[in-house]
Amino acid sequence: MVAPQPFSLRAVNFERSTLVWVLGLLLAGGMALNRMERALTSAPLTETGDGLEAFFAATGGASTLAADWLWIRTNLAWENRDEAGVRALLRLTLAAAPQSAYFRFNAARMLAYDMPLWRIARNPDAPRAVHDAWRLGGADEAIGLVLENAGDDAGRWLEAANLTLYARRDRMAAGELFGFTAMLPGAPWHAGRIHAQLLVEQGREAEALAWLRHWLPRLPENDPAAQRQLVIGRLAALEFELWSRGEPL
Amino acid sequence: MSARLQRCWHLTQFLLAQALHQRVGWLLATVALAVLAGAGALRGFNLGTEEPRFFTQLALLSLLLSGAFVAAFVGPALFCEGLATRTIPTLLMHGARRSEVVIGLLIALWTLLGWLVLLHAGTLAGVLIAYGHAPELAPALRAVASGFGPLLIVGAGSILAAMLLGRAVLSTAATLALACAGQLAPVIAFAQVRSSGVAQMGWTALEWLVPNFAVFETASPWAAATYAVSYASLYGCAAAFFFARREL
Amino acid sequence: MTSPTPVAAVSFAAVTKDYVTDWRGQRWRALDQVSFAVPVGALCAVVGPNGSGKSTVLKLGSGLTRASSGQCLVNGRTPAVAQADGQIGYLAEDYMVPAFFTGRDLLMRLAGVAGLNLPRASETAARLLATVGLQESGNRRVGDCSKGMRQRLGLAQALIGEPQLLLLDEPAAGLDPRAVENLTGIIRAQRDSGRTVVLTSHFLPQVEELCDHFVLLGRGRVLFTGSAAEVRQRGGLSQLYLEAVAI
Repeated sequence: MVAPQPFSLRAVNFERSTLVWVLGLLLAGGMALNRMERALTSAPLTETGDGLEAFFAATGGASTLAADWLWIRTNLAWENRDEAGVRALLRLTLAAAPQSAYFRFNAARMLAYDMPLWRIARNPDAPRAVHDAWRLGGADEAIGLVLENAGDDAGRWLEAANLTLYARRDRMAAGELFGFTAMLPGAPWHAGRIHAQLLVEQGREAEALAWLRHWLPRLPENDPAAQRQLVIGRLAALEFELWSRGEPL
Repeated sequence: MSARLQRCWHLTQFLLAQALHQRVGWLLATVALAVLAGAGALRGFNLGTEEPRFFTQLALLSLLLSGAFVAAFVGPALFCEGLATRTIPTLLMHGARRSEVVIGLLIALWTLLGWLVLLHAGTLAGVLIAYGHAPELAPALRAVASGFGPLLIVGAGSILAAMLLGRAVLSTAATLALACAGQLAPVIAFAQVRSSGVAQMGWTALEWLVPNFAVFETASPWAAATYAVSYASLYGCAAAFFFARREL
Repeated sequence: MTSPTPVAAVSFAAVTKDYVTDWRGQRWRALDQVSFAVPVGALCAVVGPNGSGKSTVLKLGSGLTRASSGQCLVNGRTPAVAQADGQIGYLAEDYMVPAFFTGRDLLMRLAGVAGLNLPRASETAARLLATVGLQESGNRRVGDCSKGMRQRLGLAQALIGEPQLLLLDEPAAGLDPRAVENLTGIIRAQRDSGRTVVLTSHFLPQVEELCDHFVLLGRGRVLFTGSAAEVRQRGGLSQLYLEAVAI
């Protein structure tokens, strides 16, 4: 049998032992870098759960890109008022980017405001009770989505309060939610003011006064967003109102 | 400047001239136009305050894709054509050491990838300013700059693949596989944890051999840069070690 | 007083070279116990059929590859040391000069790699272009040059650093008779200037006329080595080649 010429397609041009050394070098270096890697990356995939989120987590940095692409697809489906398509794409988008407040809040707003309106527009002659059921169902689904693993994320609770107020139209529950949100770390100052305002609207001035008295010391003097003077003004107005009615202050 | 540094400088210039001859200018122009067109298309959607982030992600996607392709095609072509046309043996006969040839190849390729990063950063800056997102410029440019880390590793991987495999097509395929594997590193970690016995040893070895690009999402810029330089150096050293022992 | 033994420009002593040819570690022997010496100042032709080991001889002499066993020396030193000192000029077989450089640019860049600063590199490029008769075409892109011109450019790059030994692997391959004649003149001039030249070729009549020392290889072994006079005594190079290869 004729031996193959060197540099033919079958030629390897190196000793096998060289390859072993190179592999050894790569493995030893890779092992050392793997320790660094583990310290620098977030929890391994096994700790982030299974299902869609695990699938997208496996794509690493590509999951953000996938989420962006899915969001654009969602927008296209939204323009076509394709409820089933929007719902499926929203689920995928949130699985790809579960931490994104932007995707979550906008998904919730689509569920709470747009989808019930689409159904009502398709069925204008349906009984009012059915319309209300669609509206309430959408709002509840949206609130559930926003509060999924919310922990003490003030942004999520604030969004839930807004949805309760404007989509569910439950001013009492919304008031409670705004009050709860106001006490969370990092909550915007206006949550406390809205809580007081909703209490007043329900005729619970004494509770509103107690809340604002409890709330005022927390407001910083040097932050314009806290609107401390406005709160002091409302406190004075409430005290006057209750005093004029002869109720205890 | 020492003689060795001077030689490396000339060697890199020589190889960079060869790399540029691979018509990468067209690729760079096409990529920039794609980013501009993509940003224009994204304007059609109501993305609100997220618009700058979408633009940034688009630029990053374009950078990672085009960078992986540049590394996968230009790196192996530089080495394999260098052998086929006897350019590399000729350089060696003019006093270049084999390790210096590897360094020259790496620097030439990294320079090209660096230009790609600058091109994307410039295009993104133009898009952000044109669409009224100038305040978002700094974080956006930082995000694009972080894309250089994976490209540094993939570039070094392409030179290593070319050295080991010796054929441009195989090396290109291996480089693209490395770029994908780096992106899918969590899957390898998952398989490593879930498997047992010999399979687990195999997955562990693969986990060590393949970088994890998720590092560039989570780590601080300095830590990410250290990680990228370390992995690229590891691949570069392996390439130099192998090339010193390979027949020409 | 005895005169010192003259050092050969190139000497091979029982050199064997094996290449690994597949993943199982199978080897192919390119050279088998090859021994010969090329005197200083000689113009030596290494001839033999395809696959006889001619290119491997030149690669070993240039230091681009290492012998599996035996000893190869250039001017009494290992090829790697001689190459690091710039004593060896090498023109690889099928060397394809990068088409996008001009001849001058290529020579200047390679001179830069060889350690010359810009003014010296520029001066060297101009001188070498004149040496190979390309002073008029130095600013033309290599891609626009004829094969003969490119081969002369390849020869010019081998002369960077004024090496004492020139190793030319098939310098005349693919050239027309006029280009071969042209190249032959340049090679002869190099020998006349005191350099040792070792070349491989399949053009037996031309190398017989040009060279003064011969090494005939067959299947990795030396079948004949000797001077031009010895070749003539044996009936000429073509006769010797046909007899030796037939064995």
